[in-house]
Amino acid sequence: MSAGAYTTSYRHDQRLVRSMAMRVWVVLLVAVVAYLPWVVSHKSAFGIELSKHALLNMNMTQVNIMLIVTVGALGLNLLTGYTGLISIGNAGFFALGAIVASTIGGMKEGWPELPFPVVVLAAGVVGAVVGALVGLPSLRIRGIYLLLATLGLHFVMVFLYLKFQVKWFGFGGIQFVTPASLFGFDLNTDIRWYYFLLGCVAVSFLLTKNLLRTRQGRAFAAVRDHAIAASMSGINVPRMRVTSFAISSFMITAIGAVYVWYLGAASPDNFTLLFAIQFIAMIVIGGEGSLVGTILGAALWSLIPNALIAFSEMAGGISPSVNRTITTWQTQITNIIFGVLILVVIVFNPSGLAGLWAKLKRAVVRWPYTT
Amino acid sequence: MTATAARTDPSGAQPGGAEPLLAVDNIEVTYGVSLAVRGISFAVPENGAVALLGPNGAGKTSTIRAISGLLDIHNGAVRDGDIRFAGRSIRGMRADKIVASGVAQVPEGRLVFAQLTVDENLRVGASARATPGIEDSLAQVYDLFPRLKERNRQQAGWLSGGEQQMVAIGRALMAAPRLLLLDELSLGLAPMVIEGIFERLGEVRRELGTAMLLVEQNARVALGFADYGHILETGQIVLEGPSADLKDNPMVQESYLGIRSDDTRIGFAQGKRYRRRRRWLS
Amino acid sequence: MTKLAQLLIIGIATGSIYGLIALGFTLVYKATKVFNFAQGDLMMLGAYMLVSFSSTSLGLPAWVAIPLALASAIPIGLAFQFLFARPLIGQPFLPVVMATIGASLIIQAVIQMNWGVVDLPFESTFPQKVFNVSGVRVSSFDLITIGVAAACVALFALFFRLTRIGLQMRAAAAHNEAAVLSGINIHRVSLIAWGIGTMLAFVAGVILANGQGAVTFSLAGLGLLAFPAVVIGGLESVPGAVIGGVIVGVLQALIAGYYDPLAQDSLVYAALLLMLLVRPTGLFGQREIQRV
Repeated sequence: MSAGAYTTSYRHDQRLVRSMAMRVWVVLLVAVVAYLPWVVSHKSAFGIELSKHALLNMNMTQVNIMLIVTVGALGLNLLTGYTGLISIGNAGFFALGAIVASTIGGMKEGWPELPFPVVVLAAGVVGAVVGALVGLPSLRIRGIYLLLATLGLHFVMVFLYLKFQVKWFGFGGIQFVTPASLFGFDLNTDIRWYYFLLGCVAVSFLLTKNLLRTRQGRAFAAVRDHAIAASMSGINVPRMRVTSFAISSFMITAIGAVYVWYLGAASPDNFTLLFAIQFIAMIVIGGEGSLVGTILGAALWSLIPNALIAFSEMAGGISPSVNRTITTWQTQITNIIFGVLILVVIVFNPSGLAGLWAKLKRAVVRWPYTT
Repeated sequence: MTATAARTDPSGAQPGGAEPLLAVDNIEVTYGVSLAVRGISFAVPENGAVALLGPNGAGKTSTIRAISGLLDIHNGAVRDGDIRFAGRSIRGMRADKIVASGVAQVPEGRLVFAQLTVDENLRVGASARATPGIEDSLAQVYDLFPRLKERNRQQAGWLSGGEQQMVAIGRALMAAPRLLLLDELSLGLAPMVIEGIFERLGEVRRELGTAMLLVEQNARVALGFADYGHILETGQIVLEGPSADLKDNPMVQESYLGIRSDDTRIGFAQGKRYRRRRRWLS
Repeated sequence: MTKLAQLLIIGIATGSIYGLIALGFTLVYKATKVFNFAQGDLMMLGAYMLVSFSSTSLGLPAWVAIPLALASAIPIGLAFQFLFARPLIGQPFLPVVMATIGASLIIQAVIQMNWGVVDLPFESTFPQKVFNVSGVRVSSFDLITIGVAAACVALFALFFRLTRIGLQMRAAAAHNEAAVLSGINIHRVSLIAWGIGTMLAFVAGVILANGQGAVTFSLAGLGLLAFPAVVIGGLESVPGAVIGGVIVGVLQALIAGYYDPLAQDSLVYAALLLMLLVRPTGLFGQREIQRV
């Protein structure tokens, strides 16, 4: 009997689910995730009523948005955690996705109306192309230039979106009235969207994980860790970086199209720099370089504002002024919490929540030889 | 007299038993979980010249960094033992305070400030200097290295390797140190240039009375300059003694000086016998 | 022709402000290798601090309020260094940038919580004269801005080139490890760099407060324009920062005057992208030689 979960071949090492124990966990996870929407919408699990607070005031819309944001964060993490490049362009790519979706999604009389999946994929392709073009020059030199380039991209993209929207749709924003339909199946309830988005997250997760299992993925990591050494090992560093940025942009733009379709409307307020910064918060807190961490980070992003409200309602009983402060300044306090968490994670535990979880697991497995 | 293989006594103590200028006492240096230096002791007497020899990765640079307080930049730390300079413990002291106490380093790779001029490079060396007389020291450095005076307004990045080495030494001298640490001085320099620089160092030692600790891979040059030598391998001192004795030691000759006593090669099993001997003695 | 000259004057004036912010950023970046994403937010903080000192509740006259606001730059800059830069010493570049992004989140949120999200009207105490120079209207505000900015830059240049601390800063910027082993107190250099950098940001904020008629949160957007300035001028170049700032200001003015005021920011950012395409190191940046 083996003393731990060891792999005995490259093939084995590459497997997604490496041991019996992992298989069990995966099955449990699938079960929980499949049951979740029922719990949230009916506010009861296995017949037991759950209070509002137990669910932290989550409703299906928030859960769905969380899933959408997860895909965006996975795309960003591929870039940052695995290739070591920082990008603040997420909101800009979302805006690009919105433009593509409204152009070929049949949002305007006389414009092409392509099926939903095609639109989403097309948005991804456009995003990849833009990403490659924007990333190309700045990646030849240093990663910092990508941050600046994506900052520029953000403002240019949002401006173009504004021009586009005002010119063709007026000041009220773009209305996404055509229902999103997947092979004839209309996504018109939150629960249907949930399963679709869950599929998106699963696909993104698996694709990214796959990418990282391959030679390409190891090349990405090499470039992140020591670009000069990587180039001496024969890796075409600039090409790796551009590829990574292109793939990342594909995911983000595609999910951006999904995002506006889900919301049913798009306006510049959906694409703020603050939004892009929050993606960075997600991957840092969740743990860069960890896909599971990204999911945790996105979950945290959704849950913290709700937890804050729940806390404020509870604290309201003791001190009404606390309640008032939190309700008035909910967004600001949330941002402060994110900022502080970013710092705490970077200073004390750079591997983020995922790293913390891994350490915990290791400590338990090795007990009593914990260090 | 053969060189001893002992490693506990900080050798090189001054005649008369006075406290040496620098005493490294059984220090252990770690970088995270890896141990780079595992308990070495040696000393540098006032106005003395001591060499630390050994191959790559032996722990010589780590020792020098420990003395200068530069380990934390490289995520290292002195885990055990003590370092005493002029009677005071300097272990864990902040790097600039150590320079102020009178220990200056000429680092491996020169590390000149490329964008600053030669003159500015030298003046930076006096940043932590406690004693007055910066202009005098500057004049002394220019006297010692006339080439630098010629180029004193040039950006240091454009100088040749040998000239940059002079800048690095001059910069260290500007701190008016009592002890000079020289890390891999000869690296990347032509033999003639090396000779010239070591001649200057001899001048410095004679005229300023500065003590010197050399770290070198080039054992011949180092043993030619220093009075005493310690050979490090994988973090421990395996052999030490006066330079003359080390030069005569056949193991040292074979491994570090490239001299073969006869035409037969000492087999790998026989080589570095002093290490095996040491294990018996310890 | 007069329109062009008019726009140039305005452009140079606003550009000087961007130059000040960019200069503070570049100083900190050179001396401590920290890419302070929150530099613009510090500028905004300076503007709001001036409002607090001048507000009816404190009722301080301008000649007291302005120096006080500027003086507050020092403790704030030091606190910033202590909270956000110091704990990250030795960390590679990426986490440090992210920390300053986190700092930006926090500072913006704190500003909103403390001063509210509504515009705060601010009466400028600067002389409000307008001169007419052969058809070109030059306001005294523009002159003061350019003058103050030029003075700051000159003072700073003198400090950087001639003083001992300035030399230590330049050495630390050139090679951090060599600076430490030469006996430079890196902590002190870092603190001084942050103090000066924040001070420059606050000067910019104070000027902007006086120029806009009100202090609003949109200053955050103005603060971000320091980044195109830095890219255009060259990431590690001190003169580049100032000149880049002026160029950004002039570009903005020209775009607003000849094309569309709403496009002025975006086209500046388009110029940033163009610069990265053509010459990423900027006008005055040096190609970096990386040691392996």
